[in-house]
Amino acid sequence: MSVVRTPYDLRKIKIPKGEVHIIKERCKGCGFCIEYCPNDVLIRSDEFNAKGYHPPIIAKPERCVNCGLCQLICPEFVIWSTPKGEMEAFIRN
Amino acid sequence: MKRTGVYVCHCGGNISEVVDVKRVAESVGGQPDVVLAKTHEHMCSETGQNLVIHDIKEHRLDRVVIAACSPQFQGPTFKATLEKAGLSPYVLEMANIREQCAWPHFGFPEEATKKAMSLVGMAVAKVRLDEFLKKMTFPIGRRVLVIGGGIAGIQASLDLGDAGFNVYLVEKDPSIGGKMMQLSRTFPTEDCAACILSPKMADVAANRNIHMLTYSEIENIEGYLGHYEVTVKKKPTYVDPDKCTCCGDCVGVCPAVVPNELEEGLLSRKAIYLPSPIAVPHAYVLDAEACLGLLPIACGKCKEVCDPGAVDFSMRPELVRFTVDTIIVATGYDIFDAGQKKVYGFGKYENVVTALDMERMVVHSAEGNPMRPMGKRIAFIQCVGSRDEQVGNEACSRICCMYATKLSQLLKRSDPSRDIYVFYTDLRAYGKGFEEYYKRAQGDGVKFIRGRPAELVEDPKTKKITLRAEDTLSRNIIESEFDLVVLSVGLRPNEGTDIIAKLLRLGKSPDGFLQEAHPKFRPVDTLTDGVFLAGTVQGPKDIPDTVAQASAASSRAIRLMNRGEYDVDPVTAFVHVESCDGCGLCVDRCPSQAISLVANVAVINEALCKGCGSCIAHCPKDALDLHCYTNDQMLAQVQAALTDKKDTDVRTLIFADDMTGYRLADNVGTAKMSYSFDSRIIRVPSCSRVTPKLMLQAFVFGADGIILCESEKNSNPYPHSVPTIMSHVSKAKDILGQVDIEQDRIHFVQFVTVMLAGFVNNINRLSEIARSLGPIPAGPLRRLSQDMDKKLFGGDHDS
Amino acid sequence: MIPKIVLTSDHVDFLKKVSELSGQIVTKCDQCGTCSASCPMVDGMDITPSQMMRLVQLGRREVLESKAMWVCASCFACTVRCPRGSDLSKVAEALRQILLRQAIDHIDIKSIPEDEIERLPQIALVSGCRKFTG
Repeated sequence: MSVVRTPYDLRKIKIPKGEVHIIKERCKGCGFCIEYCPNDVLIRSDEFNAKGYHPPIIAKPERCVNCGLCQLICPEFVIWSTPKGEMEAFIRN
Repeated sequence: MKRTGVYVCHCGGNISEVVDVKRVAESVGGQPDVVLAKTHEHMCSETGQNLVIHDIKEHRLDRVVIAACSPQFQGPTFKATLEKAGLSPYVLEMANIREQCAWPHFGFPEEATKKAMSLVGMAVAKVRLDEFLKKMTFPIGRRVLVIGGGIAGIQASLDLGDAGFNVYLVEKDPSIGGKMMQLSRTFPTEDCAACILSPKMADVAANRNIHMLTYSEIENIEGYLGHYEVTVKKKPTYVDPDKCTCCGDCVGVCPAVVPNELEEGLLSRKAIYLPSPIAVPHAYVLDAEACLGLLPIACGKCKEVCDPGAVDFSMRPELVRFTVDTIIVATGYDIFDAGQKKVYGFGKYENVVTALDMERMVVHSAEGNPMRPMGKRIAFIQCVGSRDEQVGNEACSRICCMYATKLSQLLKRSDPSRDIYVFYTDLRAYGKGFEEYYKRAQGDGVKFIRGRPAELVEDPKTKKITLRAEDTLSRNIIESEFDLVVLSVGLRPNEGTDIIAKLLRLGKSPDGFLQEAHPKFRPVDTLTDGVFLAGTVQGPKDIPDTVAQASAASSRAIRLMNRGEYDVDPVTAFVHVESCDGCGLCVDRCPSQAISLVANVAVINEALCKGCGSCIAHCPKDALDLHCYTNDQMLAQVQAALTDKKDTDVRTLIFADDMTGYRLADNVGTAKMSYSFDSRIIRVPSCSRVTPKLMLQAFVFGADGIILCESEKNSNPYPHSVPTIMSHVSKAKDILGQVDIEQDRIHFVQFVTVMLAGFVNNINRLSEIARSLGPIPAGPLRRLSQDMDKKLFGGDHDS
Repeated sequence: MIPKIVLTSDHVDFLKKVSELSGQIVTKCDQCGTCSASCPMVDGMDITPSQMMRLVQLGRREVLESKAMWVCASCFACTVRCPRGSDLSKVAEALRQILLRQAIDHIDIKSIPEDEIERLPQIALVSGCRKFTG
């Protein structure tokens, strides 16, 4: 189909909502969380932490669904998400 | 001494109205081995056939020529006649004086009669050298591949499974059911589509002879009738269907949402989902592309909540290989992409939807969960994407008039206060109960307006759609606002069909759907042995016709497989052992690897040989030959075609391959299209049979031009023939150039069976070229015939 | 009054002439009405574009008496949208040509009184002489 449409029931569907927490000072700037986040919630920032690395910043907090991959993949255990109820669904492109 | 009987058929006037059949019979009667030459009104009738049987016995005939219709038409009939008389069916030759003489030359009785005499002469020359061959018989098993699990594939699988055959049903979606599963009600009875389909789907799952491979695609098919090697890629669903209890807990926790294909994207689903309420296999499926990620596992919540432990992330794509004897292609259709018709604003205007969207809306409304408000004023626009040269589809999609009649009635009856209009050009209600159903719609108050809307405009505030059309019946221009406009989209061939068509070398009709072997008499066969078509893959049609075709295809497949063996004409290569010097050049040249050297002599494996004749040109000793189309026979036909040529005449030879060229020539004649009568058609299994030597000899005997008409590459049963022919032609042209004969006297054209005008134009063009070039002078001809073998094979044997 | 027509061979001649002039196969029009619905000038016409095609198909010379082909703006909307691939603008042009070639003067300049000629803008005289649309 050449036409992509928004489903009528999108707003009625609820999906889990998550909140991302980052301990910026311990981050070593490996970028795994940014790369692997399925919903592109994180981006590399220009700010430095004390060690001189660029920790991620939460660019699109509304897209975090608490999947937990960032938590799983971080070698330093500095990033994780907590459940924060539900939100309206969106289509991932 | 050979004893030939010649019969010239009136064909009930079809031939005798143009050709003087008595003269034709008399013209051949003088030849020494022609024992009798008779005419008859209807050779193919029982009396005609009995005449032949009687004469064979009474006059001790040992070969027969029948000058009548095309051998591709009644050839099998007359072969059976000879068998009944105790004679080999392969000492029969047919002179095609109907499709290739009387019909195309219907305004020219004198020329047609002369050409008929020439064609009969060619047949007599060929039959003189026929051998008493027997049919070849090969074993065949009971395994069938059905590609596509829509209603056509389902019906075919059930018929075959119930008959005791082994069926592999391959479907690309996670559930079988196809488009019918998306429909609301079916016309004209208004049966609930899912309700009548669901039991059939359950039957497929329960049938022990049907092996379903869903979420699977065909990777490759190689082989031939009785031995198709199939490779299928089975995609992982990441859910074990034996453990899944369809509780739906996984859906609740899945955070990934995508448009739902079953609902045409109008509703959503999660990455893990049940494909349909009546899905077969009935299990959830995890769509890897929609999922947040499986490598590494990003979320994994569905597995956490799955009590039976059915979610299994370790599943991987599987390659499944198996061998089948026959194949049924039932890959269905796609609806026309309404976004292409920009004037209707589909995709831009929220209140413009397709008919398939409307089917889903009706289903949900009927269940009490309307998807969206439909409003009171609804318009249907017919022929969207059909009967429309502006979008490149001239054809009618057949079912849209009826489905619009159905949807409009369903909408009107569920809310009589609605105002429903159907804008049509013709209302095609051709089937059983259709006209009555249309009348009922009119009676219910659905308004039918004969006029095709030109464009739709959206009111930016209210989003209502204004439509403009002419009521051609009262000659008024209508401009009205509607709450919802439904586009009755047509049926188009889909992408999957393209892939299968290339794999199996299936031809396409001008409308893009797959082509049947013969539109009247072989509507479910293809030109590839053992491959059949069922359903909309062959062309738009409704459900009853689809089911009928699926059963027809199964029956054709069973016909081939039921006896456990099938017969093939013995058109295979053979070796003149006394001439073979064991050079082995032919061994590598056979596209089927059917030739080997044993004790320094070439040997043909008849089971592998496909009878293309490509090997013949490579033998410098003329040791290779082809049964039923021997070198001597080819030359004899060429000579017979040129023997009555006067000096002032131009004579061109057309070599036409069985699959397309010859069939196309028949189609041209059947359409009564006229072409130059200086041409003589010689039938070959493939033009790769036409060696450079034969072409050059033809010129020596007086031909003024030669054209090779062959199946185009993609639908040619001999995949290597086109490059082979090109090299033969190039070699022959080279040698012509060496002796100062114009190279433009040889043409090679690839065809498909619907290129009627193309055939006529090419034949006429060659005749014109031959006429303007004039006859070949004696000098170059003499030089051509000197040391021909040296010119062909001297130096490099390469070609 | 509903006209009754008798189809004679004369209708074939007119149809042939228009077909030749326009280079279109007029008989392949299936009267779907897309052209009329697309036409921006149809409100000012006495017959619709598809009606014009119909009259030509039936060989009815009365079509030359209608004003529709003169109101035509030659915008080509009909041509671009015709589902049968017909070029309607060429058919309209063919009808215009047939009339123009009759070289009938609708305005007789000599019989207009002089004081009226003085009042008339020049362009009215020029267009009256050129287009024969009078």
